[in-house]
Amino acid sequence: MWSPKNESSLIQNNVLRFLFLEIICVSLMVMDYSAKIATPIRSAISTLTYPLVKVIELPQNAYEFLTSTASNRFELLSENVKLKQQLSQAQIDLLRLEVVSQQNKELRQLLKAKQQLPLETTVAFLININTGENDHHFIINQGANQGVFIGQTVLDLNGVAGQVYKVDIETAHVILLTNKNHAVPVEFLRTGIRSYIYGKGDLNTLSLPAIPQSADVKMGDILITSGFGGVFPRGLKVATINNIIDSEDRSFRQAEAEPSADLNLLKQVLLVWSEDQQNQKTLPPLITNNATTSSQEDIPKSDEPKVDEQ
Amino acid sequence: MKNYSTKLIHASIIFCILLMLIPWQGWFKTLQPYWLALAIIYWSIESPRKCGLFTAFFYSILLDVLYGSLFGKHGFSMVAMVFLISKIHRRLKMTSFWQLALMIGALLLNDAFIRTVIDWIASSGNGFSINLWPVITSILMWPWFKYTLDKLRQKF
Repeated sequence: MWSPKNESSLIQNNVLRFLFLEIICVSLMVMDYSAKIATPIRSAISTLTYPLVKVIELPQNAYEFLTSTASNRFELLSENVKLKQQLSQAQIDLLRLEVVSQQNKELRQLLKAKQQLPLETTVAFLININTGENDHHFIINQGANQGVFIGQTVLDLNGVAGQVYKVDIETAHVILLTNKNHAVPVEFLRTGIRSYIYGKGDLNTLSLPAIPQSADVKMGDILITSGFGGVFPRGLKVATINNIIDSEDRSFRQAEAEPSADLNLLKQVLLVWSEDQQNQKTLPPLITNNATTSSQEDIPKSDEPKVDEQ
Repeated sequence: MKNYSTKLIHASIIFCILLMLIPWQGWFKTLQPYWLALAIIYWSIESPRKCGLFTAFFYSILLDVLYGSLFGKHGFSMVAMVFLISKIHRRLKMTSFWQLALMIGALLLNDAFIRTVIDWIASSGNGFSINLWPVITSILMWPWFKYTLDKLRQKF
């Protein structure tokens, strides 16, 4: 029942509650910077929120199912032909790559360099739900239960798409490399110059804000991950340079690049499980200027470099 | 004093969270009202004992997890808002319909400002951009929202 006395006690209680909850919120925000503490809390709470995600996903899945069953035979046939063409093209490319990877292996053995392990990947699908003000950010259908971890590299078939940055129990949040607060350590494939590439908040451009004036940079140069920092494994394609600008006082250059991954049309992504990612910091750096690192995925795991000393 | 159904409170809040999760594209995404805040405001004015600070805290933490935003960001601003409402609760109940809408606009603006400041601090001081569209659309939605919930409350 309402009474003035009741009301004042309510308000007084509220001040204490208010302070208590705000202190909890602030400490949660601080804890969010440490993955070890935040991930278990998030996972625990996401058991409550996961049904909500499912509810939003359900009609979309139903719609997709209906459209796929309703699509006519002719469309399916033409799609089949297209896919067959793509497959044969991919197989031809693979044949060529096999020769190159064999050569690469032999060269590495001659140089006594460490063999690079193949990348293990799993497929994850995007969940189409709103993520609020977070731009360049999406959710995938794999989470802590599948062993996804913070900082895991996320690939598209054409290149790096981003990294995992929040893990829930059955889902994970992925930040795209075009996000304003995201940077990737990269290396020019042609020259081996190292740099950082930053997101600009635009899906089609990435920026390299400071390249030394002396560096040899051309339009169309391909950028790969350099493996520095230990987040992204080395040798994954990131972007292609499509614009070079000299700074006003000509002391350094800026460049813009187009991400290799099809960020506008992401539907499924690959999560990278690379074993040497953890040891990368302790190992000596690999040979630089190695132009064929992009074919590392084709090197079989069993072939360890053991050159006889004779 | 009417005894409002607790179930209706929670059902309407959860429904509002679902509304916020719908993946609109383009302009619709920018214009999407802050449904959760509308529901929390409505219930904390109408039945402050059943929808108080803890309810607001709980549901906005859920939203934080769903959005993957900084943990406790929505929680912080929402708790502050409900606290302000509890302070001026009696006055809010007395004011006319349009004045109430204006006051809610002010509360939502304050809420958006708090979240922007948190974002600004969290990104170590770069990019202070406040998005006012959700505030405007939320105020526009408020009359219809209040009307619908009033009707629903009479039924349940």
